[in-house]
Amino acid sequence: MKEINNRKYYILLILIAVSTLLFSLLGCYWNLQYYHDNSLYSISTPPLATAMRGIHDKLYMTDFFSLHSDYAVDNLSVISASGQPEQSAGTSFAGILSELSAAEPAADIQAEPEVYDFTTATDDYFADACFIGDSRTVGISQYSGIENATFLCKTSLSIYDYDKPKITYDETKMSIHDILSEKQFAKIYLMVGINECGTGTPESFYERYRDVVMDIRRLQPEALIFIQGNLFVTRQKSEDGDSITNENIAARNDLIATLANQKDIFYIDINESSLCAEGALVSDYTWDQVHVKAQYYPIWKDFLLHHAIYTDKTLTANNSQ
Amino acid sequence: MVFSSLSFIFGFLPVFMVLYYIFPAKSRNLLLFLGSLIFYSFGEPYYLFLILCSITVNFFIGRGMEHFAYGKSGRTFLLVLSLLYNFGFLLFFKYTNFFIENINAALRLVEIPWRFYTLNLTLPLGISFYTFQIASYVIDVYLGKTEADRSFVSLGAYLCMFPQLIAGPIVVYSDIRDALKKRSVSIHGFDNGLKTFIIGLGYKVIIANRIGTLWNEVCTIGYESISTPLAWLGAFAYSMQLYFDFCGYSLMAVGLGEMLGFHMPANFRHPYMARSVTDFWRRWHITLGAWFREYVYIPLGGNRKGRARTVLNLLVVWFLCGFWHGAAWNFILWGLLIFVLQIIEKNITLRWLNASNLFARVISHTYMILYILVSWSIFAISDFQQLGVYLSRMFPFLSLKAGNPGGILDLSDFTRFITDYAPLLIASILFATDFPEKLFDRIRGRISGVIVAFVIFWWSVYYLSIGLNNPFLYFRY
Repeated sequence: MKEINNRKYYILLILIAVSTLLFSLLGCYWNLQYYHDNSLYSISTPPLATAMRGIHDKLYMTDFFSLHSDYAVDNLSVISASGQPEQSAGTSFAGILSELSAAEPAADIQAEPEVYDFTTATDDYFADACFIGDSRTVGISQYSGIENATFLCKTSLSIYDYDKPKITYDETKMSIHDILSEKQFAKIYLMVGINECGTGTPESFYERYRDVVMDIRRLQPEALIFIQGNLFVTRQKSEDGDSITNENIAARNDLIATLANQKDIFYIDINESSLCAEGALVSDYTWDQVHVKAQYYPIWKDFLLHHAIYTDKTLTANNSQ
Repeated sequence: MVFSSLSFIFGFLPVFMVLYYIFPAKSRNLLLFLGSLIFYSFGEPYYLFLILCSITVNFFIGRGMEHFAYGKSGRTFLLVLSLLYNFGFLLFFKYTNFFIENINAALRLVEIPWRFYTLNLTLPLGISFYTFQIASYVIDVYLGKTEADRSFVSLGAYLCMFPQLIAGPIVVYSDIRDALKKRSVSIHGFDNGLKTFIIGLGYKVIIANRIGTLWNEVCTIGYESISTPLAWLGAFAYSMQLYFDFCGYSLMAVGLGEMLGFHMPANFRHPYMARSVTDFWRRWHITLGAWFREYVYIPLGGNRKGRARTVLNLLVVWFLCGFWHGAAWNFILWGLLIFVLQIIEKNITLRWLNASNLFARVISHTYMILYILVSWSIFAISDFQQLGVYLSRMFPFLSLKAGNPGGILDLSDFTRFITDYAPLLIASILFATDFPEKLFDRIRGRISGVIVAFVIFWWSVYYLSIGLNNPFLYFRY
């Protein structure tokens, strides 16, 4: 009988209880310091979950460095409705971007006064193109048949990841900002937005998006920027009740579409293609209601080829290949 | 509420355990009953009423049956009544739409223009499990194997107890009756149960959830577009997800039961180490197999009525077992496949599969790998057309289409997944053997066991906190 009540059987329980307390305190501290999320605590997200998120975001490194200097935190994650950790706006880089975009008007390059129309191109159109985007762009890179472009894409990429080292380029992890500083492209396709549906408002998303587009414009003065509207989800997914709805996607698309000037920044909407019908993704073309099945990605390539732009610059670039 | 959630681990469980250990032993059944109802209502408050009715009806029928001597028609009448009630609800909620859809298909076939509407029903949580449990109770009372429970609370605690309410193990009333009346709790039992719970949590969160994303990705790509090696890899990932998901959940249930002073039956015994399909089904979902043997196979005569009758009995059991797993034809096909293989084994091949020489071992394990991967693929895909596509990817020479989509042997997608998932794939193979668990059992009582459990616990909580994939495949049962 004494065996059953041996003290050693309390050890695990006590260890867990104490560590829970410690992680909860850590979570509260990190929330106070970095996340500033006052509506955070509920039974399904107790303070210790914040601690886990902080570990995921490597906040302990930030704490360590901040002992030495004032180290701004860019790598915060916010749990979006899709359940994937997202990145919220950092303090330093976003500040710089905002200042720049405030200083420069929307269409600031020495553009010719003409406006360009969409035309049809052939496969070599993508040879000097760069695709930036999230998991749907990953799908384009793998299954659409576009082989010659540069793909800077990653699952769960969001607009807030623009300046974080997320993309593997030349065997190192770099940020999109840094990659675009190194190499010039003639066309840049940008499609992010679905992962940010649970974060902020369409307006806050638009502001950050605008800042990023302005930065791309600065880094790549000769490039044509194609802003892609985010692909809708199926009707069934949209009616599911979380933040990923076609109304939300459409609101965000409409706002980022205003950045287009038809001279060097263009807006193209994949939802006009046969992938969508009646304002939603065709449910036969997808399994998880969000991503297109591999065999239907060529439709995307076809759509892009039919929405090509030729300006004097791109013609020259093509001729010099 | 699922066990693998922060709200359960840091909310419900500690509160309940504190109350359970503080309260006097006499009131623990009531506490368990009420606490389990609260647990159940976090999932589906509407169906709380249904399970309460079930307890009430079966309680009174159980008491009523004892008024009639065994063999009297009154007793039989009550048994039939209770079985109709219990299985009636199960059939209604789970299988109505299946019947309607098939009737519609038949009408379409004979070109009658009538159609019936399918109902918009959600399945009451755990109904497949608690129906079987309460049926075991009334049948055992009828047969005189056990006395009817005099206490409504005690029967309620039996049926509802949260460790096995949602997804088993299926605990037969007779096995737990004594513990319901009187059980003791101790820190030793609590600690042992906690360690088992943590192992189960780790299986589910660290392995099952994460290897499940491989299968999800294969589905997202679309079966038409995957290479043959990837099709096999996908089947492997699904098989591992299903095992660790369900085995993990069962271990969590067993651990919780032990923390409450109950000894719950094991549900899994390293099934992927089996050497024959017959052996596999004594190691996978053990309590379900035991229930079917006890309440279907043996009452039908088992193997004591001649060979032809044995075959028929097995057919009935496997048809029902397949059907229990899902209201769709692929599950029935799956059950029938198992039936056919078992018949072949019992009559021809079992001797060779079980032989102890090396050659027999290699053959039997290869055979089992094929069985596991193919049978779970049939289990996973309910749409026959899609299933056909998937099987033709696994066995490309079976495809009837001339000119397969290019690149069935294009290894680029396969290599991508292998590199991304290599550690998980290796871990899943390792933990499917009995080696890690045997190792853990040896250090369980020592400080190293405590450290291992502690690490697994926080590692799992970490994954749960950062919100990764957390489905539970046996949840909609």
